[in-house]
Amino acid sequence: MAGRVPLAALALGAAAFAAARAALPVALAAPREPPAATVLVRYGFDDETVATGPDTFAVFRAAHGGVALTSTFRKSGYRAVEIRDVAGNGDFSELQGYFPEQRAGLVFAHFALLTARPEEELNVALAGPRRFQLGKDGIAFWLSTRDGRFVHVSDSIPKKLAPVRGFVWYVVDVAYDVDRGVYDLTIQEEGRAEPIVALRDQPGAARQPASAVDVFSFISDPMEDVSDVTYFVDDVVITTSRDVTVPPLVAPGRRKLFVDAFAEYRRMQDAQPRCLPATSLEDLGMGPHETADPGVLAMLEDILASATRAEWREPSKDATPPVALAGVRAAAQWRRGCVALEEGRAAIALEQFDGAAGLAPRGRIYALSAALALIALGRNEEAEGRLEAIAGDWSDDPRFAIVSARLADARGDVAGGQETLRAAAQRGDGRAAARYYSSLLWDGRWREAGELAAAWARRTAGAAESAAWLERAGDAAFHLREIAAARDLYEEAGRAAPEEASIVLKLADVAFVLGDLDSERRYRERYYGTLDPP
Amino acid sequence: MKSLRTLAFVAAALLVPQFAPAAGTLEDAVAADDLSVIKAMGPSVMPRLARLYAAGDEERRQRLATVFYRLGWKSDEARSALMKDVHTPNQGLRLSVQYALGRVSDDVSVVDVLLDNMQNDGQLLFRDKAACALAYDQVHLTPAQKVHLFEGLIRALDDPKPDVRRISALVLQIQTGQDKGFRFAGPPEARARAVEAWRQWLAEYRSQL
Repeated sequence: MAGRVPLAALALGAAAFAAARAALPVALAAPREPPAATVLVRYGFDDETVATGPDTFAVFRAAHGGVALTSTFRKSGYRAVEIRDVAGNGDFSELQGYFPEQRAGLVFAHFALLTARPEEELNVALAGPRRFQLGKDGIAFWLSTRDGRFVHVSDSIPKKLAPVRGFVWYVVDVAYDVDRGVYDLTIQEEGRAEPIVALRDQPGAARQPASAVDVFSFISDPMEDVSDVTYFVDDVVITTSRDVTVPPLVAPGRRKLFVDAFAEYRRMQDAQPRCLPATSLEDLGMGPHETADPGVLAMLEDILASATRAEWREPSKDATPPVALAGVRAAAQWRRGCVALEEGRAAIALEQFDGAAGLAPRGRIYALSAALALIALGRNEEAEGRLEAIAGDWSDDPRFAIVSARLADARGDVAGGQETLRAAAQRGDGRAAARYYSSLLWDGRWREAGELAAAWARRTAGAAESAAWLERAGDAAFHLREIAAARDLYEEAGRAAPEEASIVLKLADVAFVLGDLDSERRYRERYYGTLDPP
Repeated sequence: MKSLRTLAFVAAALLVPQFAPAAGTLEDAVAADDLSVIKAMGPSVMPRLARLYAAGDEERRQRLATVFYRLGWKSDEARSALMKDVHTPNQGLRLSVQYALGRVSDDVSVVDVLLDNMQNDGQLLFRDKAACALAYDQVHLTPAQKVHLFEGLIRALDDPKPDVRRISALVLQIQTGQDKGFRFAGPPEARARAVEAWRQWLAEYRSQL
């Protein structure tokens, strides 16, 4: 585990708060509850082991920039982290750290920073699961230096604070009240008794109560790419007022092996109902007549594309040929339903799917999706009725089998669900086979799961698909504790898909279990980077 | 996966030619949609790209607008070239241009033309996508220039067209993470209260400049 922060640093933080409160009017200076202060993460960057990973931190080095340990400047101990960037390189340097998600209580962040170039921009943020965007569960606290001053973004407004001097250490303490979405901020300048910033009850970055936090970031300039900053960070401590259990690390940089973390993620994905893809225009209720205009196809492509700008994909009456308008609108409505389903808003999804079916009754994917939404809502009888009603439209299409298997699972009929999937897989459908594999894995039938995966890896032609099946076979071998076999399968998968992160990280796991710590580190750092100087 | 993105960028940087690229290389890279080669030439390539844009047919201009968008480098030449197509009826070209403008410029004239398209274009699709560009692509604006953007968006919350009110509110929400309780289809009095809250917020924003 990285870093010891000297007790002196913690004491200084406490003293800074005390000084700041002493300077405030009595009515405002009512003391907060004394923090129980469970330490979530603490980095002094002095230990031998500063292992990157999903539960410690990741290092992103911009071209010609860098993030690395240094002894040139340090607040305490003998090392700090230097973050450097150059303008116009199309990238940015970042130290990004992770801690258990906090959805309540007070979260205290303490860190020290020194900048060599006060006029250059740097940014520090505390954010939640939606990461670095303004909004609920996005950025909660955001401190920058701009044009030689500290600036904090509060209530979505960049607000100027004190000037920044070069080559001077600043100790920053934030007490973030998660429930109220406000924070106290003190900044102490090296060599000065009084804090240069002492603010109470500032609205969070986007004024959002109950906005969770689980990540911090020290970064250069992620937007404009105009910063030539070099700065140093030391003594990072995140604590909470709540008495929470922080599980120990089981391997470098992680509280859970990557194999288990990915398995958990896949299980969550499997449990989360999501739309099955439309594989033809007929699925959407569109025939040659409606799609004769190439503009309509482009519009459909736009609608079915990724959801990142989904809010904007509204087919307009002006831009759509009248013959295709209902079909295009149905597709858009279905897409919105799919997004809602993925976000767990199954009732809204059902409305959208039914609406789409009303607009384009020949679109068979809409009724199938509605059955999926009903299963998500626990309305299994209705789902069964809907599936019976459309069974004739689907013949032996594996998508119908997948939804039927999900219904069987939802009713606790695991064996029935598996049988449905097995039959569909035997008819040659990869998606059904993948779900059958997962079902076997969750059922602890690892040997069968491994055999299924190995067989599909052989019969699959594409490199990416073959790699996915080899990875599954490796997972099964890992669960069976056949670690060497798992390594061989992951390596083979890695040759087929050399950039696939999950394979690289699972290779780190097998190396760790086999005691090959050099390989473990090499694989892990391909993804999470390293603080070692290049 | 950012570390691989970084590696890819390093690899691209290593491709920086020791000498000026041979004539035709840029055109070839544009034709092949090879952004790494264009990136390796650095921001000084932007005026040449702008000239290629001005000389191209609509298909090539759309391709180049996408290149400008992906590069995200500020360039007056690129802005001037793109602005000539900001009202084109060619759907694909128009959308690419609207998206690219904010990526190449911090000029408030870009904000103005996008606000105008968002409120007044005859086609809902173009209004909608202009809003999309205002929400996501104004990456070079300073806080002072953002005041200009926010003023326009808050003004548009009073637009008689519900779709304009909806997309304006959405842009504000994406830009600030807040909605101040504004509902585009809500009763006029409730909308007026929310607009007043936005105006007060803007005054506070302006006071911090």
